[in-house]
Amino acid sequence: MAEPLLVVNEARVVYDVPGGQIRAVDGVNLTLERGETLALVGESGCGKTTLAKAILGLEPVTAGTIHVDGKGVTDRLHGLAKRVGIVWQDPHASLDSRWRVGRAIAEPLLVNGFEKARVKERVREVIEQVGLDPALASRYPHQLSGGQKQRVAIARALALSPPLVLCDEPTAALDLSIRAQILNLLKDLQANLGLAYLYISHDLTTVRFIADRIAVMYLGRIVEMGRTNDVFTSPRHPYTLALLRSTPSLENLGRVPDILPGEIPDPRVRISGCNFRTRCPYAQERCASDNPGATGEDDRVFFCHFPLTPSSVG
Amino acid sequence: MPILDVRNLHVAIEGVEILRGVNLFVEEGETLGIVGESGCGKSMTGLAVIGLLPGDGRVTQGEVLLNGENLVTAGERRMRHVRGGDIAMVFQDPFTSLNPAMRVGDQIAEAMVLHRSMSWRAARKEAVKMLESVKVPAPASTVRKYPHQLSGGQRQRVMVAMAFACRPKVLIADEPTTALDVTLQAQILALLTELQEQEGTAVILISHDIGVIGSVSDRICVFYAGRVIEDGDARDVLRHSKHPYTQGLLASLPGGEERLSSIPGQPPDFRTLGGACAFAPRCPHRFERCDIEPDLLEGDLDAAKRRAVEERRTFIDLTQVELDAGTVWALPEEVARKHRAIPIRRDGTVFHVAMAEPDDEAARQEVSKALGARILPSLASSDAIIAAIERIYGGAPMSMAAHRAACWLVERSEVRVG
Repeated sequence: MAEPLLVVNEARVVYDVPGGQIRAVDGVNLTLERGETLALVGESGCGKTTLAKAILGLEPVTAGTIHVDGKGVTDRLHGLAKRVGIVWQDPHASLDSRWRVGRAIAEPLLVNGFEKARVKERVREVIEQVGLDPALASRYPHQLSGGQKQRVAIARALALSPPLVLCDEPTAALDLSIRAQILNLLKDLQANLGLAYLYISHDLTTVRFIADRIAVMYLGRIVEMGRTNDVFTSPRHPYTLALLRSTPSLENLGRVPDILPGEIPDPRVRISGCNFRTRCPYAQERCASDNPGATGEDDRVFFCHFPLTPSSVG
Repeated sequence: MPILDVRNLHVAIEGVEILRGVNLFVEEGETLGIVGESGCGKSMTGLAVIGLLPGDGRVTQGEVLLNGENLVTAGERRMRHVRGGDIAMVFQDPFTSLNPAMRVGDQIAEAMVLHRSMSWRAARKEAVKMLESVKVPAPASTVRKYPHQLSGGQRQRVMVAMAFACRPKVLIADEPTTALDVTLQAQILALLTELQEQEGTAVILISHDIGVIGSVSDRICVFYAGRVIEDGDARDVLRHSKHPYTQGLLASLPGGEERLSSIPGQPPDFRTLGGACAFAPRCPHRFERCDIEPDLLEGDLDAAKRRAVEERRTFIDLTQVELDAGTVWALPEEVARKHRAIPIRRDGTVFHVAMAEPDDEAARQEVSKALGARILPSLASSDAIIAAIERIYGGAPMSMAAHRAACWLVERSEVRVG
């Protein structure tokens, strides 16, 4: 069997801060196959963006390893951009307002030693791939709409034909009707180019549409991972269930969604045992003493001493 | 009577008209959801109501009636009293709307000192109670904290406490949960609903998130290009939308399908809007009449009809009957009971629609004949009317708002949706 495109093995990212340490990523294991979409979901501060930065080599891992396309991600970033592209949340912030769109897309090509004579052609190619008129290459970002800007950001991520693209909340800043266009585009590009996406989002409705598998994070750890449909229809971890129930849905009109009490605790304070126990309605003594290990098989794991019985939703 | 009634509101900023005749109202204890995409004018409507339009923005036409008083012509001194007093606001980002250099307890107390003429000592005491009511842990010590010492969720709770501190009649919440995670969002929405029920506050909730709007709203207004293009009961608007724009938005929500449908094109540039329907360039149903922009049209009473069918009752339309203000047409009790008729209340005033068993022509005729057999004398208030109806029918009238859309299709029965 070929090695997965992305392998994250016991990755840790730890920051020293006044008053203690923050384990932003605390022993994460995951793999991503070619052509597959894995969604990382969780609330602010759960470590999903830090993990993405670690995969991009922007945040050195304190322990553990990350391999993309067979090569380890180290602090020597040379060549990594050919293996991983990134689309950030806010295209307005991720594009230089003084650069024409064409130059923004060409930059990764020039930096990574792409054949100079072919740069223009390649820029044109990716602009067309994301459904824009090549004439837009001579425009500045402020002359584009929000949806067009995000398409440019996607084109730039694709310029070097990386097999893996990280998407960090790529539709969160977009209006509903535009969001649908971008989600469709991401799916089309995946089908045509065989891309793999690591899709980071807190929006479960979007994730359900785009992801093959989903990993739910809480305070730096993955608490549950599995096929999207399995996780949505039969969550096993109480936190996954709380997230699903808190998401407003048009199926439950006139109902304020269920509630998970409290907030994410101060990350500087280490919690013994299971991270989630301070908010978990099912927590018992054992949860305070032992950190739950992985339960389940390859494509369905959860980390809980007292998992929900299968199919408690729907 | 609605507590807040916005009529034909036009607002211009730098010579560009950005609100083009907004009509909406909200009643005591009711939640009106305003939904729409960026730049549609939903936030501007909120700001115009409280007289805080940015820059040189001003109301060029129309009225904002608070309990009948026109706020558009009210002076700044009066508006200072209204803002935070009769009408309170909660904005998206609690960090920028709180004063970073002032203890949160004092910020809550300040409103009460200004609007309820309380002493600082009494107001500070009350602030602790307010924090308790919004479920901030350790309220007695939290009042002494500064905003940066609180978490995002707690800051938004402080904002809610400030908003409710002066027992406002109307609360305008503009994207109050957009900056929050879903579990916190659920907490804040539940809190708003709970306080609203306690206080009987009318709430206008502005959001781009249809899920949020659907989970708490009684009625919904959909905005597009500076106007309300559809309004009605939340259930009617979201389950049986009439306007192609609303239908497009709902269809673009991710569901189980392989591809999402999306609305082609972009929202229009306000500077180039002519007299045509602003949505026409993106509309799949465009036809000749769309060259003239329609007002909100109700078409027929299909919402009432649909509900009658859902409840397995025959629908009898009474709109053709001339009704005097405050007069109720009712069925004699025995006829009402026999045919399981329900009265329907529309837009605050009682507007009587009777219903009976379906597919029973004899029953239909009997009800039609009996209708108008008893006319209640003019009653002073809609409460009295409702009480009278409850007496006759042994139950409260079904509340139902008119369901309207600014689209000519509403009048073309062959394309009716639902």
